[in-house]
Amino acid sequence: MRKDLLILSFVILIIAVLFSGTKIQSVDEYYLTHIDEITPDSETVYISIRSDTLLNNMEKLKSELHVYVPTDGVILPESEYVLRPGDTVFDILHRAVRHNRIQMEFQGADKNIYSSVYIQGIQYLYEFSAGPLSGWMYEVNGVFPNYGVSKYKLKDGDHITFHYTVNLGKDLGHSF
Amino acid sequence: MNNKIYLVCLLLFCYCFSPLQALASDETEELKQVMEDIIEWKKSSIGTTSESNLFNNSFLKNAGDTMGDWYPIAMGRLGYSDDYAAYLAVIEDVVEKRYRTSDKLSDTKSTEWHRISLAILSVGGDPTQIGIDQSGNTINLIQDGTYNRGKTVSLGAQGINGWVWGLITLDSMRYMIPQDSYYSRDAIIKEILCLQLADGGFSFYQDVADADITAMTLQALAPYYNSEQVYRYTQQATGKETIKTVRQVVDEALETLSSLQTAKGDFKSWDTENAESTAQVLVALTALGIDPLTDTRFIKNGKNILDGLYQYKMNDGGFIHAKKYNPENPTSLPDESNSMASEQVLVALASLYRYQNGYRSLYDFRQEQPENIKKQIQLLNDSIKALPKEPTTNQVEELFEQYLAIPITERSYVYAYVKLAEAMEKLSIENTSEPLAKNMGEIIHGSGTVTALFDASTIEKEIIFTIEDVEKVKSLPSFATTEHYVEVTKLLQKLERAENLKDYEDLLQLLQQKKHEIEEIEEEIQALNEKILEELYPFSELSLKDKESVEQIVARFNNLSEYDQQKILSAEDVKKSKTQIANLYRASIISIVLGGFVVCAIIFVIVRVRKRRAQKRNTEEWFDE
Repeated sequence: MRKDLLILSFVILIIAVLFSGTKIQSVDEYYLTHIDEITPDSETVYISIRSDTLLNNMEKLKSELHVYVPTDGVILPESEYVLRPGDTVFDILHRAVRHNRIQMEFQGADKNIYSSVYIQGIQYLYEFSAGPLSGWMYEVNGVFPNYGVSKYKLKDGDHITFHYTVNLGKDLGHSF
Repeated sequence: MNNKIYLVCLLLFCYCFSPLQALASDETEELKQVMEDIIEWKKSSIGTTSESNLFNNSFLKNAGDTMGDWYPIAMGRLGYSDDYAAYLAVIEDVVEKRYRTSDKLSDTKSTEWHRISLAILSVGGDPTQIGIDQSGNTINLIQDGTYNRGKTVSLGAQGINGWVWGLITLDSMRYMIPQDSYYSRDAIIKEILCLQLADGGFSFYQDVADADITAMTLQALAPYYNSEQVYRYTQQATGKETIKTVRQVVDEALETLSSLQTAKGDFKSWDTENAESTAQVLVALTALGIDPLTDTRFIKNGKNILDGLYQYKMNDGGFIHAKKYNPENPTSLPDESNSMASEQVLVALASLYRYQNGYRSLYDFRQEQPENIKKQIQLLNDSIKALPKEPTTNQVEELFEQYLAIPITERSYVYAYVKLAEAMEKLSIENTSEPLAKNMGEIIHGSGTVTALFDASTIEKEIIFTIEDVEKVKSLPSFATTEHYVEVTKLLQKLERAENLKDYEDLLQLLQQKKHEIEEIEEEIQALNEKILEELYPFSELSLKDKESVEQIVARFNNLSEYDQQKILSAEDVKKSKTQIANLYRASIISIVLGGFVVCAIIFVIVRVRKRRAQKRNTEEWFDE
């Protein structure tokens, strides 16, 4: 009689385990599959991708590209990403566009004079797609750095915004 | 003994050269030394020795991009000995490959066509016949990148640079423009003139004169300085209807440029004195035939532009970008030679060297001038300079006749012409010289000229596939990866052109097969990258349903060599997905096993309970009885 109760309580335990969906993983595996999961103590940064300045300048943009500009200009609303050690703006951007399936094309750091990755296009909007002064610029905490995305090392809590400019940043309130 | 020879040489040297000539020759020697030092620095910076070629396999990976193309442009204009054939082979292949994409060399940047064309010319190639496109036609970069570029995208889509470099490229061999083309030279010139700023200079941002862009614009307009043609246009910055010759615009821009020179002789861009801006101005002045070392407009505080430039020279032979550290430009350090600064200085010094020694200007890649024309021009320049303050009509008319006797496409080299034109105007002599833009075309096709300016060594014309080349083919691994792309391309192109191709037809087949294999790997890398993007995201939604496709991706990834795996952009995500799927799979197996166990346990308990009840009943019956 007592043996039965013991077995039954064991059965209940197993069922509980199955329902709670526990996976059996090694520490390494856990780390690998949860690397981008935000926990209370993980360091994070925020990224958004916007094309709002195009909304007032649609006539400058090649007509076949109009479909790629969202009606509110927001290509990626502000999203939080885990900051891994040594992450640059490019690493976060690359992760964000992959995870959100946003098209992006870039030139590798070994292919240009700035030894930094150069963002040519995001969401099919390229440099010069809307006139000679158009292209992608980035801002970190309200400042537009004048150097490459793969040179900018991030710290906890940084806010990154990628902007499509039609006027080399003047339309974004940034003066050279 | 050695001392004696040295002494004799020295005496001979002193005897042969007057002090003035000796001085000039010292300057030339110094200039040569500075240029050689830059090349040596660049070689050592990429880990090669001074006896080896700069264009080695690792350098050739950058053929066709901004990182690679400027060194061959500078070195080709000096005819400095290096592996030009290899550069040409790889850049041709790069062009062919990029032509297979819908944007060809670029969606909006026509300067890609321009820089690549100039690089091809510099190493002795012909940009009007470079490789074959998908439909089997010969690729013509001059047609697609200059006079017919507008059929795809405006040359000006990227701003003033497109017009400026388009014109430089068009004039690099004095290309003829076919009748039904999109742009004429006049149209391009007019577009450039329209962009002149109110202050007389030019800039990318259309605000205030920038030394770099003003200098580049002058380089493009230089061949038209002697044209009397008048252009009517609306100046964009002021909205004014304007009627000017190229010469008027150039003179205004020169004045602006002169005002931008600092007291140290150098130039600024973005508020920072730097080597590259100074180098561009040097190229502009030499293109216009202005002596940068003596023209008073470009000497400030006793410092000329070369003094300005040499401030950036480092002890290792290379040049730095700027002396001040700019935290916004961390790639250039004030104490570390920089590749871009060094390359731009090398280009500028090559231009100066060509100007000082009577060779064609930097971006004029035609055969060097025939001696008779060179003499004719020199004589005319000297006579114009020697004109008295108040020349007679006869004197002027005679010189004008001499000017008209010079072929139109060579007239840009009559640097003193402006003085003649002014004298004619003063004396009201009608200037009947032909407009230059309409008569600038000379040829449709042709290879750039590489002239060895440093030594008499000629650039090898005959191509022989050597024993060493055969060894190189044999040492290729049986499974090629994209790492061997440059080597295979180089050897294949060489063999295809070699005189002794017949002896090595088996190797030709082998190389073609390797090339094909490498192209397949490149396609696989691209396809796999796309597949990963399509299948693995969003990561949180991966489920056991995706097991098969993830396993496929992993298998394809593992099939690649280690070198090629690095080209998979999200290799980490492949591993992550693989682990995730493995975990899900393991979890499901464990669930099934545990589930089975639970069922067994329950059955076991039920059986036991029943048994006990039966037993109990039996016992009760037994008691009842």
